[in-house]
Amino acid sequence: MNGRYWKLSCLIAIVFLSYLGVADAKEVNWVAINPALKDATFVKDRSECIDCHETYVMGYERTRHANLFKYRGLNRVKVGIDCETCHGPSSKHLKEAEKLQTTPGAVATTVSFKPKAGLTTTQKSSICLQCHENGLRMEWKGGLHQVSGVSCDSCHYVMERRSDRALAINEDVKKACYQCHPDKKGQTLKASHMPLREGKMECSNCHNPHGSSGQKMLKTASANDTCYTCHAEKRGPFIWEHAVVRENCSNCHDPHGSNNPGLLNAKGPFLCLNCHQYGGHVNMPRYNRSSNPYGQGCVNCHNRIHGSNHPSGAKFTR
Amino acid sequence: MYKIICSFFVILVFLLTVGLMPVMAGEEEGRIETSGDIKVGAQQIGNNKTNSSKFNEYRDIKDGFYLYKFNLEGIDTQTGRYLEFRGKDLIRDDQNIILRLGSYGTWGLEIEWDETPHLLSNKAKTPYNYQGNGLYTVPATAGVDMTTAGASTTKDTTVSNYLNSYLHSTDLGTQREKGRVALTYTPSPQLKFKLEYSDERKEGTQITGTPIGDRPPRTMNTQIPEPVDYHTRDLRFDAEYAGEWYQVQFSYLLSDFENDVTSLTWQSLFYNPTAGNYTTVEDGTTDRTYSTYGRIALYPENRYQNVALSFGVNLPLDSRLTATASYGLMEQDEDLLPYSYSTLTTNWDSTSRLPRQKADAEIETTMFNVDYTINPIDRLNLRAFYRYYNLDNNTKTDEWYYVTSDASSNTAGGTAVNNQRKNLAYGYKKQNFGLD
Repeated sequence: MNGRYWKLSCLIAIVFLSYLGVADAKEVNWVAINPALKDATFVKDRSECIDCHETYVMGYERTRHANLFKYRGLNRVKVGIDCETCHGPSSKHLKEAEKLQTTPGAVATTVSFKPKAGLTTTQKSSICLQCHENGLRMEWKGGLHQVSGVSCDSCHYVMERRSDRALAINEDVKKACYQCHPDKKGQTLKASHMPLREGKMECSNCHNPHGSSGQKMLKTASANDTCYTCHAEKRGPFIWEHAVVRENCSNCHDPHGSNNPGLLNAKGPFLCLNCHQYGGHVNMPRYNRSSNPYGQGCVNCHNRIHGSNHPSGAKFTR
Repeated sequence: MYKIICSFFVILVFLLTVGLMPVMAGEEEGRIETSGDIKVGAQQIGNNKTNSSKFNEYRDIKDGFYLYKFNLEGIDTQTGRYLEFRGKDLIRDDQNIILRLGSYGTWGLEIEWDETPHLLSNKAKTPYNYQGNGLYTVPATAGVDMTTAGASTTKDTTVSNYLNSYLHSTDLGTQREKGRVALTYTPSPQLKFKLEYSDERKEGTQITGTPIGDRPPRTMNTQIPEPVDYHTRDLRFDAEYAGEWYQVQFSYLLSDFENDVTSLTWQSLFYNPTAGNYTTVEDGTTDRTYSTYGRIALYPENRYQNVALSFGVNLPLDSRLTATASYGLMEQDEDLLPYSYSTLTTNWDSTSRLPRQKADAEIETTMFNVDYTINPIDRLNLRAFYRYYNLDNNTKTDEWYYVTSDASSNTAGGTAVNNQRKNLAYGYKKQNFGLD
């Protein structure tokens, strides 16, 4: 590396480190979300909320959030307790309680996640990220869902325990994904599919919907690493590698579902012919060839198509 | 028998759950809050619904008593200790049972048992009998004269008559059984550790093509059930620190795959003792010798390790920088089979002819990902990213003879130098960068 690049690298490093020096602690700007909250203060007494919202809170009491607040206090949250952590300071709201009950159409001075409140997805997410900008959510910001306008409450419902885990909007967690990805739902209904519709898998087995350093929001560094999670036998490495397999399983398989056996992108022989069109061997399925589309097509002979560990396995027949 | 043991296990854990609650509560009355629900019933499947294996491809629906779901929860209202016991499709081949206990915000233990069937066919037939250890034999061979290459009506009739006599039903499908234990510990709201171990067995059979002979039309093809006896053990450790404005994560994964059946050997059902194990090419001049047994190498045992470090920081102007670096190592060093099951006149059945005796295969993967995103004004997101992925294949390269599907390539039983192959260690590098 010549001197000019060194100087440029050092300059970038200095700028970056200076930037870190003014790193931003995450706090919610409640007034920006709802200007009416100006001068409102945190009451820090959940019993005040229960006076009016008892029925609503009954469902909430069985959630993990409620239990964490109740038993551990969640001391990383600097503001409010329980309800106020997500709905903002409630001093003004308590004063208007009587008016809200007697005046139809009166607007509450609080932060509501209901559609009519008109919160942007960024505003909604900023409230959740007070506590959740960690773990699987570390790459939420800048992730595909965040920039596409998805907010936390698109998939999660925190006021009631509807799913076994993750407070999803539905008992069947996949339905959260299918709201925006009906094409993928359609694929899982095809003849060859993974056991999603049988309830043995979820989309989140492979994808991290909160953002990921993997491509296509996959949980691992490469697509193949994701597949090896359940198909460790295909990990190898093998003496004889099939390049297209080593590069990406989805070169041949569609993991979301297919009408071809084995989740293949195309019917047996034709899939292979995408790459293997040459003379001297089959370049079209023919009547007198064992690679005819009976049985498993080309794989009738080239049975170790994912890679072979046999000394005579150069063509994956052993 | 297994299902009975399993049902006892479920009842035992259920009783243990109920029994633990008073212990958690001490003597104090009303300290424990419990809730639960159970859904049971009976099933009757309509006529012919199970004719297709697709009906029960990944599930186990059958006539009789059905314990669809149960859920039992308890919490100590003074300490915040909790216990959950859930189950679904109990005493079926697709059952799932989870036991969770812990203390909110401090520690948690999760124990899970999960089963997943994969039924591939319920009408499969084969003349082969499994002898164990990856060996399939036939009660008698069909006796097809293969000295003349190519298909013929006579050959087809011989095989057809043979199959009519010897075909019998066989199972085709696999069953996964996975146990998982995960322990999380949160000493402070900022710091979290997780240790997880899973142990999965996958057993059964799947279909595979089994050719003997050098290439079409001289290849003698069959399809037989390939034994599946996999054992995968994963150990994962995660540590995380989430500060006010930055987060750091570390993870380590060790995955160990074992295959209890490392090769598949089958008897050629076409063999004709009178005609011998020779065949000819189309010009009728060059003979091929083929083995009366074929053998393929099944998936080798392997080990994988991965270590990853992630970092995220919030910066001014509502911006954020995240970076992840990971390193993976795949290793496989299985003992190699010889070139052929049979000697084929020149000891191709000896591993001494191999350039090396073990696979000595290794792949290293390196990934680095950095994202910078900024939201300067509402509804405007800008993102800059760089991603580097390198797959470095360190598998040793050698020159190997190519003995085609347990058949010699010429009358001398030899394989010429021009029939050698070199195993190339395929690897690649990818870089993606851009602005969104």
